[in-house]
This record gives sequence, structure tokens and C-alpha cells, in this order.
Amino acid sequence: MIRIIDATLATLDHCLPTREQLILFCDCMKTIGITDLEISQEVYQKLEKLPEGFRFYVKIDASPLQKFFRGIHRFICHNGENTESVMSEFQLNDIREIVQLRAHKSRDYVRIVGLDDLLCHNYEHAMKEIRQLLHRSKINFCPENTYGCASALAVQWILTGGSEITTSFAGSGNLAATEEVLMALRIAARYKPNQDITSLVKLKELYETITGKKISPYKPVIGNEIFHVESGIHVDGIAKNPSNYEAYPPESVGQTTKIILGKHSGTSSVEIKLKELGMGSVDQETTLVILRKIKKLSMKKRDSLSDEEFNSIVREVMAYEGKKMDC
Amino acid sequence: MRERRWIVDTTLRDGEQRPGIALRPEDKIQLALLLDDINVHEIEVGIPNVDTEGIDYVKEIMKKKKNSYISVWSRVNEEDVIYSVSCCPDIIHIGTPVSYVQIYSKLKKNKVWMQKTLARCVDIAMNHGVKVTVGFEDSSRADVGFMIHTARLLKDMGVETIRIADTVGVLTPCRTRTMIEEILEHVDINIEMHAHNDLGMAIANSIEGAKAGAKLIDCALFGIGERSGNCNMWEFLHAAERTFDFGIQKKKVREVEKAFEKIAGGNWNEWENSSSF
Repeated sequence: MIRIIDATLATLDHCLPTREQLILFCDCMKTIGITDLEISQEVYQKLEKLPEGFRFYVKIDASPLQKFFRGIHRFICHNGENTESVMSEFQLNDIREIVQLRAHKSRDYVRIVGLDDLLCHNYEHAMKEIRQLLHRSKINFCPENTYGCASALAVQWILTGGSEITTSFAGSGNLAATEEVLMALRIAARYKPNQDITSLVKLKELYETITGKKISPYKPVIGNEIFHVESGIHVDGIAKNPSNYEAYPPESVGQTTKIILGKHSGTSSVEIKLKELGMGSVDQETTLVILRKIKKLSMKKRDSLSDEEFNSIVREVMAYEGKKMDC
Repeated sequence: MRERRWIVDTTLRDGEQRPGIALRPEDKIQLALLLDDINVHEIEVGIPNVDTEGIDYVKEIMKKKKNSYISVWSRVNEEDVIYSVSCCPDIIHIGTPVSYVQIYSKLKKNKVWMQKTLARCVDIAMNHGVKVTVGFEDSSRADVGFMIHTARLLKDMGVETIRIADTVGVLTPCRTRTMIEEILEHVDINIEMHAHNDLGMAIANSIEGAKAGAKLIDCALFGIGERSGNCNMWEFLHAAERTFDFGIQKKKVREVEKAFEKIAGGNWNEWENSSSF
């Protein structure tokens, strides 16, 4: 069984969410199939009562503190003592440090954090070595993202036989991004803990509200412009069959394809846009005239065109050529 | 000693296909010469199109560049290839779908048609004395056996490099490795890795591609490109420079990025070079 622990709520103490926001975040996580959540001590206090249906994890410095956190599934302790309620965490900054795990082979539950540059090495061999050294332990792998490879490493850990990883929404706190890992496992391993992941949009909005920062429009899986398409070849391909250029339906993550007009548009884009805006259709020759004007204007403003700009180009061309549209 | 690998910049072609970016010929000349200055191995400067920037800018870049190879992208279409030849670039890159989904439902053709048309296009370009590289679009969803067969045909025609394009961005590092190793096991040809970032794995897949034997790696400034973009050049160098020698100084990439921001407008680093946003 694959277990993804989402640690977003352990990374937001600098902008501590309200109780309502925390409850909503947990609910959204549940709808995308994630019920293992790591939270900070501050978040624990803020929640007052832990929502049901989750396994919560809290990082603490010493075992005696456990009594202050009721309802917690596991405590995460740096190099902690080996008890049933503890996951011992080890930070490895270099592949050469893996051998040090030998000293901890009797632990039941271990989290390995770090190994940012593992992909530059023989990562499969390193992952195998970790499993061999800790063959009696349950291992949670939490790669960090200094080199932009954390999501890939988390997915590779699962694909090479691992069962547990720690990630965070949008890669918060320099970790693998939960949504990227979830989507990659859906595609590469047919892992679908929940069919409906449309609430990723709600999670994104909530995350932006909490942190006060906008997520990149191009962020994989959750960026709000990742399904905007301008290139004529791509628009034509998507019109014929969306799977030509979309690895998964945009609707599955709560988004839609949007045709953008600009320098790279083709005739299909013009035809689709006319239809989309309820402007009827024009003959092929007129389509080409419209397209040339779109490209010209796009280069002039070094940007794509708005629907209003497209509308006025169409009207200008039709008026000049004295044509009527077939509505 | 670090192994040598080479960077192919695709900012001015695939990168520019991101909605909201529309460069003018003078912008492309300026950026191409800056990329040439920092020693990028190959610069893909665009898709020759009579309705946009035409071909004169390619000739201007060819006249002024000192270090890089200049390539233009062409569809697997004889007319397009002939027009591309008229730019007189160092390289014409001919892109053709290789997955059955794209051959049958995008081109609405079959495998035999694709190979024959590709061969004709390659022949036209080579007869004009231009070096040809071929892009295998949608390799990640293609049959490896078909790619090997096509690569062999191309090798026999004198094509030295094929581009493995993860067009929809679904590769994982292990699949990247398996695919490249399998092709190299059967065909003695240079591989160019072209990753997309749809699953946040463009850098990881590019690194794994290089480790598996890809000699050339495609990158774009800020990782711009369709959907979630291409492999971010600065971030890729940052991650892989201790393993491979790319002949490029990372800090100089930042200078070209600044020039790009000045031309295209906006603060692209705010989005692109942060793991979270």
C-alpha cells in the first residue's frame, strides 16, 4: 500500500492559518485521497480538536512532550528513541551518508529527509542500499527540492518498491509537490486513492489565501494557465483529439482548455474562437486574412490577443471585405 | 573528470510558444547573439513563417554568431522544409510525431506514410547541404521498436542526431533511462533529450537522460514553454553541473535572463526559479 504523508501544515507557521482554514485544508486533502497529515505544534494548538478520519503526525523534540498531544498517530523525532509511537527522522545531505543508517537498523519506523542531489547519482542503487540497511524498518522517504528533483525522487522511491513518502502542497517547505506526485503516480502506476482530484483548485486558492502568495500560473498540475494553448499545431491537435497534447483531461484537475490567439496561432484557432464567441464562420480566404492580422498585432504588442481584440479584427476584416458571417 | 554534454536552447522556438510571449525578429536576433556569447551549443531560433518574422532574422543571426550552431524547426512537410532551407541555417530540425496516437489521430496518417514523408523531407534538406536533426515527438507514448526502426532509417540517410521529445511531459526518470538505453543499444546515433515539466520532472528527466547517454539536452530560459514549460536552463545547470561539463557558466545565463525580461516584460524569475511558486 502506498502512503503519502502531506506535510504542508508543518510548513506554514510563518503564516498560521485560522482554524476554519485548517479544517477546510484537511477536508480538501481527504477529497484528493490523502488522509495522513503532518502538522506543526502550533497547528495542533490552533485546531483545538483534531478532525476525524485522519492520521496526524507531529514533530517533537523529546518523548516526554508526547503527553501534550492527544490523538496523534505518530510523533516525528530527530534521531528519536525507538518506540511504537515514534518515527525517527534522519537528515542525509549527501549520498555518502547513507551508510550511517546501519547504526539505526533496529528502528521500527524511519524517515529519511534530504538527499536533494540523489538523481545525479545512481539513485536506484542508493534507494536499494537504504532498503537493505533498514530491511526491518518501515521507511518514509522525504526528498528535498534544492535541485528541482524532489517530486521525481519521491515517485521513483514508490516505483522502485518503496511504500511511504512525505510531500507538501505546491512543494511548500522545499519538499516534493503532493499534486505532482499524485498525478505522476496516477499516470505511471495507476495509483488512484481517489478518483476526484478537482478540489486541487480549492486547495490552491486556500494555500494562496493562507500564504498571501500567488502560485505560478505555470506550476505543474495546479497552475491556472497550464491548459492555455496558442500554438496552431497544438490547437489543431487538441481539436482532433485532446489526448494528442494533454496527458490527462484538464477537467480532472478542475480546469479547462482555453484557446489563446497570438503569433503562433493557426487557422483552426481562428475557426474555434469564432465558434466559441458565437460569431459564426467565415470562408477560408477570410480566415487567412484574420489570422495574418492576429499575428501582426500579437507581434506589435509582444503578447497574445484578448477576445475583444479578436472581435474587432474580425469586424474590421468583414467590413473591409464587405462580407457577412454565416451564423 | 566530468563528462561533456551540450545544451540546445529552445527559448526562441518552443519557449516562445507559451501564450503571452510574441518576440519580434529584432528580439530574436538580440537574444540569439547573447546565447551565442555564453557558448550555448545550439540555438533553435524559431519556425520560419512568412506571416510572422520571415527568414531574414535567421540570416542576420547566421552572419553575426560566433560560437553556436543555429537551427530552425520544421514540420515534416516538404514545403516547410524547402522554406526552412532558404534561411540557410546550420541545422534544420524536422519534427515528426512517432506515437501512434499522434500519427493516427493528429496527422490522420499511418506509420509507413510518416517514415516515407520524413525520408523525403530529410533528403530535400540534405540535398541543399544543410545538416538535419530529427525530432521524435511524443516519444514517451511511442513504441520503442518503431522509434528504433525509424532511427535506423535516419542513420542510414546520414542523420546523426534524433531528439527524444517528452511532448506531453509524462516521463519519469526510470522510463527516460530505459527508453534511451534501449534506442542506443540498437542504433549508433546521438540522442537529444527534450523534456516538458507537466509533472515537475523536466530537470530530473533531463539529468537522467544525460546519465543514460543523451549527448544534448534541450533547455529554455526560465523553463518557458507550452503548459508547465520546458527544462529550465539555469536550474538544470545548477542541478547537473557537478556531474557534467556543459561549457556554460551558470551566472552568465542569469544575464541573458535579464535581457529576456527586458524584452518580454515581467519578472519571470519570480515564478520560474522558485520551487514553491
